[in-house]
Amino acid sequence: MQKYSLFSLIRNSFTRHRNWPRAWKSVDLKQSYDVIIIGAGGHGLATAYYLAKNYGITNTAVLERGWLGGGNVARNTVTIRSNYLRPESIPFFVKSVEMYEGLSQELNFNLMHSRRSMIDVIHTYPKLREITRKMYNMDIFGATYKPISVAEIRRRIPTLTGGGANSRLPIIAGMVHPEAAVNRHDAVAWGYARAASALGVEVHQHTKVNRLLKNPDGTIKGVSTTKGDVSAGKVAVAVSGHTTQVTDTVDLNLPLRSFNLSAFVSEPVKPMIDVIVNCADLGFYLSQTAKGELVIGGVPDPGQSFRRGSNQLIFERTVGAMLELFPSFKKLKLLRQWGGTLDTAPDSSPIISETEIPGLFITAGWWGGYKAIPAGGLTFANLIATNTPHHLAKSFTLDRFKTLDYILESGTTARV
Amino acid sequence: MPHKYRLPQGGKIDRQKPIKFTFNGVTIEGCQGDTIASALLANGIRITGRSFKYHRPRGIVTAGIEEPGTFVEVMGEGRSTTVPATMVHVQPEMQVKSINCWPNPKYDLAQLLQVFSPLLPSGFYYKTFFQPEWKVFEPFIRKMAGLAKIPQDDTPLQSYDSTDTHCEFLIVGGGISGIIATVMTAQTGKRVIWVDNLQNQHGGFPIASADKIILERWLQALRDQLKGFANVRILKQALAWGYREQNLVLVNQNREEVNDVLLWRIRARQVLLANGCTERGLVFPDNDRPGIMLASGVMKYCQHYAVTPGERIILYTNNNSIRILAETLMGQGKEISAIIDTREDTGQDYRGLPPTIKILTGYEITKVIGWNSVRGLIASSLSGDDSIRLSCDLLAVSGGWNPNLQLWMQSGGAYAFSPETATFVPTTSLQEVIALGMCAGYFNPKENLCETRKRVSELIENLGLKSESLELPQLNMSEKPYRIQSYWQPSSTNIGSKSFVDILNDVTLEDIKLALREGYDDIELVKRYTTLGMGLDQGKTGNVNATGIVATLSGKPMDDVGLIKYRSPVSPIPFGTVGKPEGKFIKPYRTTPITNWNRKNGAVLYEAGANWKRPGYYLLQNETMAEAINREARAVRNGLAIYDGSPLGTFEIKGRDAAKFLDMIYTNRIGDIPKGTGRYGLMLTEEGFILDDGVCFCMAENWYQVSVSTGNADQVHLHLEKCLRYDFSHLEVSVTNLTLQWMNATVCGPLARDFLQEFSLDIDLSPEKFPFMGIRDGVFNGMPVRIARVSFTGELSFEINVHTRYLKQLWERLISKGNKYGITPIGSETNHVLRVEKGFLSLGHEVDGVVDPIDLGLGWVMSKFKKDYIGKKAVALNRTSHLPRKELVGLVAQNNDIQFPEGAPIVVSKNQSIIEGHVTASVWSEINNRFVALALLNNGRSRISEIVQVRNLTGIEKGEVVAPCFYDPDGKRLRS
Amino acid sequence: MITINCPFCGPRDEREFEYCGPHRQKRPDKINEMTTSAFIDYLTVPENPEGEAKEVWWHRRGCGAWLLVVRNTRTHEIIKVSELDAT
Repeated sequence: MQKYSLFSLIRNSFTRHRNWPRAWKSVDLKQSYDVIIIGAGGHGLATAYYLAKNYGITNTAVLERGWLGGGNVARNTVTIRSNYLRPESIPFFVKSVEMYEGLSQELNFNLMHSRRSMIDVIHTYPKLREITRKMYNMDIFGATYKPISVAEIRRRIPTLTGGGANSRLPIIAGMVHPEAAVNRHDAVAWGYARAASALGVEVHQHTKVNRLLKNPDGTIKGVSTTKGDVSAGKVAVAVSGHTTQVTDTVDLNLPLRSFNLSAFVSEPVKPMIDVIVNCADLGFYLSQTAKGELVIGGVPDPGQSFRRGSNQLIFERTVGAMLELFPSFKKLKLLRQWGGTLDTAPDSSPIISETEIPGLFITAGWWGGYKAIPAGGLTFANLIATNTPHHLAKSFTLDRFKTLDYILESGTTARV
Repeated sequence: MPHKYRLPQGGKIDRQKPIKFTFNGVTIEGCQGDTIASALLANGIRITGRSFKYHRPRGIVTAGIEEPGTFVEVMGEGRSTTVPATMVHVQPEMQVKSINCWPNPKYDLAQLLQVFSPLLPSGFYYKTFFQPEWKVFEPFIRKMAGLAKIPQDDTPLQSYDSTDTHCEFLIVGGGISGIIATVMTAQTGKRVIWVDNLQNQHGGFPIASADKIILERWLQALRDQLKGFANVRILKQALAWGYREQNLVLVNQNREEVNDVLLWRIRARQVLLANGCTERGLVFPDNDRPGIMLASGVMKYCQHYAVTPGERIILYTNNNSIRILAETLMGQGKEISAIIDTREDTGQDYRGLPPTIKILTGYEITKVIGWNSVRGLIASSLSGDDSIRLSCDLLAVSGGWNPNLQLWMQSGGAYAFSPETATFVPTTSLQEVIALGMCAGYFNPKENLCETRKRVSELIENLGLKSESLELPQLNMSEKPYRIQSYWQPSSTNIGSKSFVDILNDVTLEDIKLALREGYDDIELVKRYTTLGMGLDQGKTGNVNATGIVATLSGKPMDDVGLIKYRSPVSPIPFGTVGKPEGKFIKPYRTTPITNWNRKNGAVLYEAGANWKRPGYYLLQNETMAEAINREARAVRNGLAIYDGSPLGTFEIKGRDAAKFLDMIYTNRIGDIPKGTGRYGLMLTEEGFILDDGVCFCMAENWYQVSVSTGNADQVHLHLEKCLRYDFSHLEVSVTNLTLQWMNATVCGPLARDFLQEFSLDIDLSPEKFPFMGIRDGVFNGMPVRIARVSFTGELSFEINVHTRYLKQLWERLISKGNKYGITPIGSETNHVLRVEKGFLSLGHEVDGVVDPIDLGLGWVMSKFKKDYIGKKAVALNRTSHLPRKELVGLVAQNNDIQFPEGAPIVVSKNQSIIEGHVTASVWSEINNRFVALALLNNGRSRISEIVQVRNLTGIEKGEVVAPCFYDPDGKRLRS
Repeated sequence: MITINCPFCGPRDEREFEYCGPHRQKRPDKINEMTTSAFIDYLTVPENPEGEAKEVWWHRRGCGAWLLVVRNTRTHEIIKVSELDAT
């Protein structure tokens, strides 16, 4: 792997950048691997990387039906945070946030990781109560939530001029989560792919898995792809949103439903917001990218969905909520909007688990899975390599559904 | 005529109405009808901005929405963020500013950056700026990036509104095929909406002038004909920007007459996209120099704005559509010095042009001369054996024509490469939509006419409708059909020059090559690695070239490479048009008939769930919140208080199987509740979660009334209905929401009975005749009332329900007569304190998704006699995991001055991250004269009198576990 | 944003309806006798088709009808709407 640095950039400029090597190798698909990972998204590529790095398992193929990093890692709003409620969740996400912070150096790829702080803007007492409880729990696990006054919110976000005493929902309190960060989502996929490839992992784009293959004894045998059958002792499914499309081919019952979640960006403008603004009571959040675009997200579509478009109704409500707090954004323009598919479990917490088919593993149920990519990859790799769950992810197995021990995070109740 | 480049006559501008505006502080004069771009061009202003990354000088490239070259900010009143200079009409006193430059585009300081451009290939930032850390560089990079500043004023001159409508036929596009389609569909008599789209107002594919006259006359006749149709709505000055599922098309209409933008949500049975086409550029070295424009732009400036921004003109093309521009310019007396055509074989395309025009076929431009403005060029033969230097001050370029596929792609339609027209054209549709005319790839006017008529009449026929046959005009130009030969990239590039594929985002041919070399080989990866097509213009003039380049370099067919996906919106639209009018978040408060009384009497009102606005407490003069709550609490415990309980959810359950139904819904027995009595009950979900707690009254046989928590009423209603219509649809039951029909004033406190007996009331209030949990109908001072003896405060309490219209009257009578008893209105905060003293459940506090009724000490409401009810099996199953149960307990601090914070965890020890519970509610108890708290604690009921540790942010506070009731544990006062 | 063709009211906007979850089997009469794994599947495992899905919508801000809607989860096209017949 050629090292990226200012020095290598200068050196390559003398040859007009003609000698940069491929970021990841391109090889033919073999008939057999130790591990097959389905899905070259954030979680799939991170898992491949940690399998190789931590467990020396390098005979791995990552199979991708489309292009590398083209799933939800290409579509999310890059909000990285660890403000969770349950002791099952907090340490996992704290670990993930920590891992992100050193990841540019580790992967030798600039992820443009930027600690931004998230400011929760709170309008109702039940929300304040819930966030306060989070604050105490997070403190135990080394994550920070700090209450701030309404005046302080306005000082730190000068464009937030709405939500005053006479508005529909006046702001009553705020909370700062200083560890929150944003970074460049494509770079995360590319950085992991490049580093994994350097360790010997193969990434095969445009290789669709049509179905899973089982041995007569019921264990996993491999996959059948558009480029032929490939066998492996272990198969890992990391295809957020489409998990059941893969596992249905072996009649596996999983507690997952797919939803559409959409986001949009504004035209680029000069820097004006340095934090991630989250407003759960109104239903939107936003941050500004290094390029100057505001990235805005809201709530999912009602009903199951596999499309990548946007629901006009949800879109209008999200914009309406944003304008309630940021009235000057009326003139700001929408540049692009898009959607992605995610699958969620009944408790909306993730699933990192072996399945009832020995050798078949899934990582699924990611809602806000972008922030979990490093820890998700780390713990999933641990599970695949050792057949035992990582201590940070031991609560996220399928076993919890056998006794209905849901891990209900805030803002999530069992869905209709 | 002060304008150097204005033609003496022609155009659709008003030369009699000059308009002065400023551009970067310099006063410029344009005419009524000019855009900023045409006015600048007329005045010979070449450098109009700087590029995003390299800060290269940029000029105006096109005359429409596809503009990649010049973006401006409009300052002062009527401020805008970044807009293309081609889309804003000049207005008097307008202040216009270029973006990406300081102090001005001509002497931009940051142009020094160009020295470093060899260091800035695509994706350079992924390879550097992370040693030592990105945060060292980020502030500088952020400052450089971004375009305009956001306008600070909250009150835009323009207002926004939205409306919904539907129609049988929606036609998008005001060109030839759009008009034809509108006239033909109008004749069906069905509702037709015609969007005269801003997207194809650059003039579109050129038409020979003789034919153009014929065509325009014919189209005008059709337009006139349309006036006779009442079923046609025409949206002028509109942009169709979004296409959603079920043929929902979003259109923004600029209504200048009322100075607003109206968002139309149009649901159409059939959409006809006559959205036209857009010219693309050619990729050659330094193809971004000011003075290099798209041929369609030059044409529109000439014909519409009477501006030709050059004297020595050269045309550069790979197709024959440019000939019409040559003829048009010559018709205005302009001189064309050369036409450079990359095609070896141009056939008869240039026959008949004057010999003064040098025709170079099989040549490409290998160098552009001039830094701030084009001064000349070097053209070389593709065979490489000849090159020629030519001078010019305007280079008009045509790289061919692309159907405007943005809406088509959004609709989910497929598309494929057509080698004859060297572009992507629509193929099969996903929704009920067809593409017409140039948008379908029929560029020749004659073909366009015939094909449009054919497709529209087929469509009308297929729908079983009728329209008259349409007579088409006779055109002459059939002998010169559109001919093009792909030319995607120059055969060689020289060091030091840049060949731009995406002018707006500064993406060059070398950038694409680098992306492919490094393995970013999918067109979507190329886009993301280089930022190609990600700008404000979404690559309308460059994306097809990018596909051509990737296909050529990777040896793949065009269709395998595909196009970068166009996303909504077609062109940027202000958020104001999709947010609610004037930014008001539509979520109206629900108020009760005495909300105004509350306001006048010191109530602090706030959101209390389900959009109800209700008092938290009533503040008297010179009182703190705590003092107010304590005063209210004392009134309840010792005297007389009144509470507006109207928002409480109320449902009436009636029918033969009502009891059977409720026995499934509630965990406890309902069927044996005596008439005129209520019972506290819990509802679970099938998964065993507590959905709600409340009281169920039996009014009569097969007639029940249930009250549920305010914040949960909508959810409970859904649950009841869903159970009834779904799982228990065989039962004969009806559920009626009476929340807004029955409102109540709750009178509570030890004096409540004495007080109420002062009124004329036909109900015996004695404890023997009207015991706790009873419910009675009666007449109270002439008002029909339903009084329930329930209590959330633990005190003697009468909930007086009346019809909504009587509540104010009831309330005022109670208040005026109650004065001598010291009647005190209380809010929900006080209620909260009192219920904590009693250990009563509050869903928002004690129920958090991990507890079941048994944990909360409500095992007694889980009927052991009922074989089945919703949630029974799940609760039993959940208990088989044998995890420690979080049980409800009371908690008092060892140190009397300490109030445990709500939400604080109970830990095993300070340094261990094991949480064994948390404080759910914590209040000052006036009656106990100390702080008391409720908590959920692992196996808490067996740990009474144990000392536990509550962790707050500063340390540990110790507390004693007690029973979860701090007042009247036997409930004597409640029942009194 | 979809339009649902209510069999009683005609085509109405999504804003009038409330999504009430995927269509599932009716609650078994003898739920107590179900095996644990069958019960858990009944509770937690929904159909998740990429294509035609059956779901339940309530015309809450309209006529109050409960509807069975067959909707394509890829295109959001509505294939069929009928009154929910839970029998």
